[in-house]
Amino acid sequence: MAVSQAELARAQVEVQTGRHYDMGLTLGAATGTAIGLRLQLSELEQTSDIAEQAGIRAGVTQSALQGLSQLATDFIAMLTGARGAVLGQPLARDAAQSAFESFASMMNVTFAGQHLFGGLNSDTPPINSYEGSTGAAAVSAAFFAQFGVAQSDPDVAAITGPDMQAFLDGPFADLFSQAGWAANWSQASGSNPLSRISPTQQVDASTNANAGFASKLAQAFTMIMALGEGNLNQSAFEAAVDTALALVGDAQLELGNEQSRIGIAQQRISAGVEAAHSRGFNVTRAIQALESVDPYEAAARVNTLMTQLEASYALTGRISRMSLLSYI
Amino acid sequence: MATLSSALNYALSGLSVSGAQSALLSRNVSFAGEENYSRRTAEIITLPGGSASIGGYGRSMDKLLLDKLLEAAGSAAGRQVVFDALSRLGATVGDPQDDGSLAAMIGNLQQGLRTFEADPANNALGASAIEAARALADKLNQMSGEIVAVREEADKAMAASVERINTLLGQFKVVNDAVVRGSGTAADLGDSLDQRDSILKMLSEEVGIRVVTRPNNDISIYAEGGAVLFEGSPRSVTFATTANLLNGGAGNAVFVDGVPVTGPAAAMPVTSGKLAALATVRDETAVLLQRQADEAAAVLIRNFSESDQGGPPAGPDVAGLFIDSSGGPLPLPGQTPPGLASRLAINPLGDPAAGGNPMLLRDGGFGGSSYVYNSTGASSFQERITGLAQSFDVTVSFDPAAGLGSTASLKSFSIQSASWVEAQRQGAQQAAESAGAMKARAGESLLRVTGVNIDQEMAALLDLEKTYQASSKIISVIDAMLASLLDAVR
Repeated sequence: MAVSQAELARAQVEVQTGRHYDMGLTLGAATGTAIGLRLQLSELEQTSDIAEQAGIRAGVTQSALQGLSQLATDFIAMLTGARGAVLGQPLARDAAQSAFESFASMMNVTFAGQHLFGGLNSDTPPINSYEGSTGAAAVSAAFFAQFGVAQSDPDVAAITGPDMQAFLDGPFADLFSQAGWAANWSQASGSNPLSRISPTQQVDASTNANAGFASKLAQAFTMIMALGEGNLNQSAFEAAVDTALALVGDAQLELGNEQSRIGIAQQRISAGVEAAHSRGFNVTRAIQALESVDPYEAAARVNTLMTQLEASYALTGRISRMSLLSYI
Repeated sequence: MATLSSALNYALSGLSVSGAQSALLSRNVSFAGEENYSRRTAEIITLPGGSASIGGYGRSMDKLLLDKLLEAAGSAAGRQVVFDALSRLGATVGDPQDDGSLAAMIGNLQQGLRTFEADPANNALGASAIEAARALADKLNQMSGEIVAVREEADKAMAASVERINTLLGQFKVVNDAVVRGSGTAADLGDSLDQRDSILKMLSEEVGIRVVTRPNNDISIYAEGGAVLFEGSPRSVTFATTANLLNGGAGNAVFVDGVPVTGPAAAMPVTSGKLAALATVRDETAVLLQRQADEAAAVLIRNFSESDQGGPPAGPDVAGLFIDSSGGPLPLPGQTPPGLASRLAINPLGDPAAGGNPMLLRDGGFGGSSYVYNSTGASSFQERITGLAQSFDVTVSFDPAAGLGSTASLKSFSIQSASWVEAQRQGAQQAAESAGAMKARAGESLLRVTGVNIDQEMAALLDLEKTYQASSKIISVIDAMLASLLDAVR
């Protein structure tokens, strides 16, 4: 009777919770499987959360790249117009200056406090604004070394087109080469943080300020903004504009490449989230199959046990009354 | 006249026999609920001269059934002890739903690291990964504490069991002596025999015994395996509680007459009863689980250890986030110091609660500047965290003495450990249930032979009543006959 009572208490709990009363005792060696499945489930939930975050981050990066691409397009339009125009030089210079500043602020965009274009150095803004930067000083020094005059000197009008071209392709380009870029302009790290899309897979869904498009854009903007301060003669100006146009064109191509690379990563991320969800669903089902009690079976058990208990109570009562004592 | 008075004598002896029988019967009835009481019967003999008398008392007993019960009682008591201990050890695993197991804690830490990996510049995520690590270290400490507690309690219970065995053997001597003295005489030995059997039943729960009956109803008791517990006089059973069970070693053995009967050195090992079960729990089951916890702790320390990052590495590997709080060296594979799980702690250098820097988890450098992995100081440096998070799934070697094979990842090792405990517990429960049922059945069988059935006694009482009535009637008839005889002669 005591066994039936204990069994009844267990069955009642099982009906209420829908799970085995003593999981370890029922599952035995399969307990590890249940624990493993639950681990897998929370791992999947977590990876899908992380991957979703990474997806949002990649989206923000994409729109920043889109902004940069737009900036480049506008700049090309402006330069093409200014190339042969009267007062084209000061116009182009002002436009380049504001383009550089927009460029710097776009490159310094943050997501959750992290600089998206900082690479692994996500805590420092990757690009400084032009005025007073190391890069600006380096440009001035290189200019003076090449031509013997400062950029603001009216004598810059004497610089010929071929001379300017030589400077742009030589010392000036060096300032924006990979080493020059890292030394003068960028605080970013060349490596990207990776985003986890499954317990075993990571994807690179970021780009950084050390990518080619950034140095090329900066090079083009600086070229138009800082060389000669509006006093260049036409042929030198045209040399600068042509070089800048070529650079921005390249940068646009590279931007496109980065965008499609990140786009592919975004696809992998959402595929990872999907996969985690569907696997999570299957794992949940497996857990249920392992841990659940058939509610009908448990309810039937409760009924049977109650009937059984009542029968034993009735029997006990009868037997206790059934004694020869009552009849003698 | 002579025949009349002899008839009167017969009737009187009938009265006294039925009186004695009804006294016996009422005694049977009054002990009807007593498990250890065996039903008594009176043996009626005919005295020379023809009158009836009580010649002796019988006691319902079946030696085979009693032996069966003793055996079943020993195995049931032992298996229950094992199951109880495993239930306590199984509680360290808990319901998978509650995520309280070692494996779940390991999973938590891995997930904490993965969250940190996604945003390595975030101090708070580092701190929460450290918290998960602390919970894991606490879990291993607590598991180890529980295991040691189970072992210590088993040790104490062994001491209590040995004391009880000695007490029971002492009582047995008194009762057995009474039986030996009384046998061959007409004395009613029923009470002593009842008492002796009940001592045997109690004794068999402590330690598996074999009983041999000798001339004069003398009984010798042998422990399973052959050690003599009682032969004319009780043999001394000795045991000293073990001082230190923390080091994972085996506890002290139980000695009978100076010969060990438990432990690996036992020449005549006992296998059933509480004593043997407690020794098994203390020296095998719990020790194995302790080894598993220790192995897990050692692998944790190794997985989180740091290597010298210098050009050619100059220094040895050092402990990282997880340390042995006693300051022991980095545990090498196959050389896990016993009780390591109880000493596993978080390195205070990385513990924000102790003024440490959680970012050491990202950058490395618990062992000093030459152990820094993040050489450029990048704030989103992921490599180290990724490596640490991955380490739980990397197959490493484990000491096969822990009973779970020699290679596994830490995660699967901890899952196997949970399976192992619960499988043991499930097996122990089934064993305990079937042994309990065996004991109950043996007890019922014996009770059917020795127990008092009130109906039977009542029926016998009716019989006695009639006999008594008949005898009294005879007396009154003889009385009437004598009276008429006397009247005739007056």
